[in-house]
Amino acid sequence: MDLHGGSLSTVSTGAQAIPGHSTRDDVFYQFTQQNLPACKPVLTAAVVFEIVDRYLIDCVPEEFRSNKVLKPMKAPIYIYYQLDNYYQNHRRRSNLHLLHGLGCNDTSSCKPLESSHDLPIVPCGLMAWSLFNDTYTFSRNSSELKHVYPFNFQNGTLIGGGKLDPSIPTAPLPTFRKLYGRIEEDLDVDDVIVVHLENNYSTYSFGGKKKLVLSTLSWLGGKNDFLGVANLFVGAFCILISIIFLLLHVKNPR
Amino acid sequence: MMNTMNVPSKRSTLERKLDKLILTLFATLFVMCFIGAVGSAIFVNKKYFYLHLDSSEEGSAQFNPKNRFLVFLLTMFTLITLYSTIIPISLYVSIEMIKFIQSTQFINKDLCMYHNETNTPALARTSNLNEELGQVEYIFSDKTGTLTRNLMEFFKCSIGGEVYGNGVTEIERGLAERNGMKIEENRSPNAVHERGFNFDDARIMRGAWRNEPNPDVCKEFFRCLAICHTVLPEGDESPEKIRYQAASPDEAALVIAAKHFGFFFYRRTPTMIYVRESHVEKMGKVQDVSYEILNVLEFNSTRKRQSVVCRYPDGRLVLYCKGADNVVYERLADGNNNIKKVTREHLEQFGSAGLRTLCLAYKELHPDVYESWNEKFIQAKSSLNDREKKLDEVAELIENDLILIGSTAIEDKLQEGVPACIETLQRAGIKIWVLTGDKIETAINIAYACNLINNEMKQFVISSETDAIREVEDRGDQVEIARFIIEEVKRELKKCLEEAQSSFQSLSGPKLALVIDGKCLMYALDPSLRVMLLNLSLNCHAVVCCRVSPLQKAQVTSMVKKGAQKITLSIGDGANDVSMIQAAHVGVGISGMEGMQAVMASDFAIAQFRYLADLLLVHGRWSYLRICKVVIYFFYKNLTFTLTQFWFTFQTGFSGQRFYDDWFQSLYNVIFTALPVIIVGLFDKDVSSSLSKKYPELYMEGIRNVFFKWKVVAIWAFFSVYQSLIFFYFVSTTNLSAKNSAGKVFGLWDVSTMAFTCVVITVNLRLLMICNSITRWHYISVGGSILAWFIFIFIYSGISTPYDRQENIYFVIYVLMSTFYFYVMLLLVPIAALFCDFVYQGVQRWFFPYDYQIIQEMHRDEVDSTGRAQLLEIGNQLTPAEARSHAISQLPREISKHTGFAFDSPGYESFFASQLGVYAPPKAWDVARRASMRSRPKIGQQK
Repeated sequence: MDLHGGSLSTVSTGAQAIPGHSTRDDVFYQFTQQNLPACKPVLTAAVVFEIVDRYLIDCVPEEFRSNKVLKPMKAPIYIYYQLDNYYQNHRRRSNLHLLHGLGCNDTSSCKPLESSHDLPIVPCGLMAWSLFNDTYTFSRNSSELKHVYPFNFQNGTLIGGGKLDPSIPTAPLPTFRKLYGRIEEDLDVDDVIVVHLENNYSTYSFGGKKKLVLSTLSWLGGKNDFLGVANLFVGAFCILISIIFLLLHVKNPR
Repeated sequence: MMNTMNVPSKRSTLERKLDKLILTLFATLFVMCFIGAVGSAIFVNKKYFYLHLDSSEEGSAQFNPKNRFLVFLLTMFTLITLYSTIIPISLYVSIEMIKFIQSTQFINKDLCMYHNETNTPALARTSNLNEELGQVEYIFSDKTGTLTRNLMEFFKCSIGGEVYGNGVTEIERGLAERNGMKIEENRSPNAVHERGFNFDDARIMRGAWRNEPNPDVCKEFFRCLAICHTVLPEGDESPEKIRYQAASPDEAALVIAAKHFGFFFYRRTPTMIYVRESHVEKMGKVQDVSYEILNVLEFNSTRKRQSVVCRYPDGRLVLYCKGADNVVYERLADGNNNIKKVTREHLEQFGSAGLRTLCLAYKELHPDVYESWNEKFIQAKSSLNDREKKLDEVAELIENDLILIGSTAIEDKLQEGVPACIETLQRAGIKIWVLTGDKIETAINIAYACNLINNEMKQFVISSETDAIREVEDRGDQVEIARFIIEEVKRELKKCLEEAQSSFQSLSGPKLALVIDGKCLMYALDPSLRVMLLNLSLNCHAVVCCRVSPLQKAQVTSMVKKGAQKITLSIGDGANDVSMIQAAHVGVGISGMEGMQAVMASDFAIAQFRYLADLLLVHGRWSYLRICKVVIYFFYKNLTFTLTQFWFTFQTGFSGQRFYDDWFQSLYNVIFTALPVIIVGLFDKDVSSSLSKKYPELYMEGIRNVFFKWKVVAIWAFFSVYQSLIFFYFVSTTNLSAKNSAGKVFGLWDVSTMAFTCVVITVNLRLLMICNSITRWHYISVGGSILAWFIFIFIYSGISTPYDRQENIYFVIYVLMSTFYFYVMLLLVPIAALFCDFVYQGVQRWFFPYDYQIIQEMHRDEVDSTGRAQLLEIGNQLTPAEARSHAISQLPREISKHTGFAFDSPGYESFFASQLGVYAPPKAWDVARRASMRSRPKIGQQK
């Protein structure tokens, strides 16, 4: 009779605890159900892909170029133009004055484009007045890409802020890339990108080359084979020299 | 005042080679500018429309295609300004600072070169020649006051076959130390030490000689010392206050010794000398004895002996003789072979110990024999023709059948530590020449005593005191004398040169030593014979020049300086040495008893000759090593920096656009890479100072100049080119793609700042790679320089000013450091740049090590002693007496042929002849000799 009475008492206590939902019970529930929150690292190489297309092989004012996407490219996709044999870093090209606006009075170092009508030109100099004015229009699989920027910029009657050249700042080498724009749509494998080029900037006379680059980026930047190869080479040589000195030390110890 | 001359200005040989390196850099600069200017003249073309090269506006002339020559010229000037950083102008400032601190803080305050007795530290009177001390190959040394103390002391003697005297000479001490033993000098408490008397033996002092086995021989020995001389006493006739006027210090030492043995010579008249004798008849009894001097047979370099005939108060006639052992032994009577043999052994012991010896002998004269001889003597003395020759012949008649008494040993006291120092310097590959005004015998004795010459060497002696030359001189024809001596010197030089060459052809020929006197040297320095003299002397391990004037000392120094093209060092202590101190590459003066003329004319002043080992092997070697590193490193870092700019020129159409900001270029040498190289110039140390002196052969690397050859410069230039290519192309080639997820592509000033950061870090780390010893000051200076760059660029690129050029750098470092690319490159580029240097150093150290690197490996587990404390001396278990006898037995006995000879009598013949009232003309070398002895008391001629 006593044994039976104890059992009844226990059941009563458990029944009282069930209605109250405390935090500790929630955690306990997650643990027993093997459903704790966790991060799931997926170790995979960040894929950086770029398409390089050279144009202006023939001197035609307009051109349609087609490129097939070989790997999926996720937004944002950056649009660069690349110029070869273009000496943007020539000493003839000199400084500009953007930081101080009209407060800059001395533009003599910007000759030969330093003033007009006795007023200083800001920004001044050959650097600021070399505007790369080729334009690009992109379409995919016969339909126009809609999320391409800049969009509807400097078009029509609404003119503001002038035409700022993305050539600034100066490139260190004759071969350089400049950021032109961005594509905010994903591109899939086997998509065909057609670019409508307006070939306005002439590089024909000095043998320059013009290229269009579409590239995705990672936290380390764009595609950079040289950096990877250089690191691999230096690391391999260090290991090799270590092995050689180890063998020398084993063979002829001091 | 006529002798006062300006001290010549001296520059070190390494600095003159540095000037050649600077000229080479100027040539390189012009070649680079020429390439750039030609490129610019070719590049300019109207087709580059965006450059407006054909504009007719102001300032367009530099790039006008219509006038390419003008483009060439103007670009040339632009590039000269741009590449001028290749010339390390601040190198001279850094070197001057390093040398000044080396002189004032290291050399002047070295406790190992501080002389406690005179409170004299070493003094670097110029800081121009510190590294010159590290390349000295020839040392020209004076003798009196430099190697010796200008002090002759009675040291030991042999009487009747017994050796007396407990002293240990410097050469014995050095020899014992070299054999790993330590000799303790056992002096009794009441030993007498007077100037000229350094003798201690209780067996014969204070009358104790009466108890010796041969007291009569002792008595004759002491009487010979007291009578057989030409010394003049001065002052009070008391043993404590009397002063002896002697023609040479060794004669004075002998008379002083007689005084201490109880035979006090106190008065001289023209015919009598007076001696106060003690303990002769009875212990403690003192009596005055007068001896009549009947004849004096004077010393000369041919006779090498001196004799007096005296009459005792009781009428006995005795001849006393003292002289060189070979001439005295020839004239000894038969019999007593045992004493002769034993005394001969004693003489050889004395000679090996560096002492100068005389033999004493006497004989009784029968009155009849003396009277007949005296008639011949008076005739010879009165003769007008060939007087000296006849006197010598008459002297031969009576100086025979002598009885040997014993021998004396006088120490021409060396400066402390001289034999050990000379041995160390010779092991370092330095050849030592002794230039002295003394006679040839004295110089040879000192050369033996100093370890400069030993019995294993082959000696060439060229002397003007030969019979043939003397015969020609007796005729008196000056032209004939000069012609004959020239022929004689020429023949001797040719003969010696042929023997030297045959000695070279044999595999293990002995080392060579040359002894030449000043008269022969005067003719040998003639242009026709100088080449032959130079060929012979440069192949000798040691050279001794005797009877040379101060002018000849300078001439010899200049001859070797120009003929051998080696670094020379002259060291002396007196005014006679000023000219040779100034003639050498480095002049060292010893601040001694002869005044300060040598010190005032010298480049370095030390108190003792033995400090020369520290000055050359420690300070000189370290200074040479450090200055070489500083120069080579400056060359490397400026070349590396400039070449990155040069590679950039090819990428700008040869326009002369600068790669770095103006302030980067200005502060590169002044702040970012300046301090660490000075720290290395002050503190680098390949081996410790004790190891430098333990292995003197390390010094030969400085003599051969192995650290500053064109080969070393070429290797560093190669690595400069390689590293500059790494800096420029690694940084600029990786710039084609974006640097972060925002799509940014770096511009020119981002790339140049990145490259400059790599240059600063790599160049500073490269300095740590060449350090032999790294203190915390190295880490502080290298880390501080790199930190200074970052502090500077944070401030510089964070501030905007109205000035135009600074816009380029605005915010650059902040953008750079916000990308991972910056840190990846900061890790990759220095490792890639220094990798080849690391491999080269490893291969060089493993397969082709320098001498000091071998020493470093041998002693790498030893703790470098702080304060350069001397190694603890390990005492052996021998008692002092046993140690002394053991050391004596170690001395070479059988092969020893040299016995010292003590007669140094400048102006002797003139002096003595004046005593007899006969005037003798002074000879040329006596005049020169007397003129160079300013410190010695003047010997007035009496007519």
